Amino acid sequence: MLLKRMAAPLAATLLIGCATGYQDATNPLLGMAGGYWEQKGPGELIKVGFAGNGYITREKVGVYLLYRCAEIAQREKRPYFALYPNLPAAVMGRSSSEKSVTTTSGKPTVYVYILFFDSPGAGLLDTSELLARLEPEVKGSATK
Amino acid sequence: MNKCFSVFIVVVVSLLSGCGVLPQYHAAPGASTAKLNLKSAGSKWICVSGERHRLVGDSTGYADIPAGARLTIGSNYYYNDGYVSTSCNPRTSLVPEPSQRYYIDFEIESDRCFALIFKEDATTRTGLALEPTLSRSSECATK
Repeated sequence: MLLKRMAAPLAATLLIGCATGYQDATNPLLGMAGGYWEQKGPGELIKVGFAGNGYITREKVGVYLLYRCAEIAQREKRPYFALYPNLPAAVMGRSSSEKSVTTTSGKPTVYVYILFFDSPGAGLLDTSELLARLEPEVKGSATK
Repeated sequence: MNKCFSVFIVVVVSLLSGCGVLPQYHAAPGASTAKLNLKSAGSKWICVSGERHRLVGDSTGYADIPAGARLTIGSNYYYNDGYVSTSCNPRTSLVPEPSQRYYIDFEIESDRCFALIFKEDATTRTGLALEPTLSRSSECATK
């Protein structure tokens, strides 16, 4: 019984001491250390973000975010997507291939807006290519 | 537990920032109005006669705002995902067109936040268009 009571705080303590892994930020336990999240709208846009803790590098957060965007595109069965660093860029159609990760309250956090496409085009990212390229880096370190 | 704590913090910050006691805005009968989409995060307010008035959405999430003259709109925003917490009170101004629908959003980067307002435009995939009258705003009293 005592072990059961101590399990959650102990796990949380251990997790907080590690760099944020590739995980869902809404996960009741793992999400305490950050992770990815998404929010639909406005219009057909999806806002995708990744919040890291003080142990993860900004570069890694950028990779995780990009990979998560590609995973969402795959989930929606869309072969291409545009990535926008912010809402004004999305409204103006100014896509980007990546976004610089900055820090909020000393922790690396980042978000982008994505819009799906069925055909290749200038500035669009290839869902399959991104997943294949980033998977070794993301899945290889997801539990570290 | 974590969620409860987040909600508690939001309530406390909202009360402390004054939005809990702001008078609610009601458009004058017959006045020219536009609609503001309040679905994004934060407690929205507008500046009327030099005072902040709280905006409350209808069942569809829109609030009436006065049209035809420059108007300051702001938000008391607090975000806590259980790990990172951020609070800010951005504001901006625009000249709303009568009957036009607007969308207000907040961009947070590098510990800074910005209020941004767009025209809603159902003909675009983003559902939005740039608002040409968007501009910086002056301070507005809380009472």
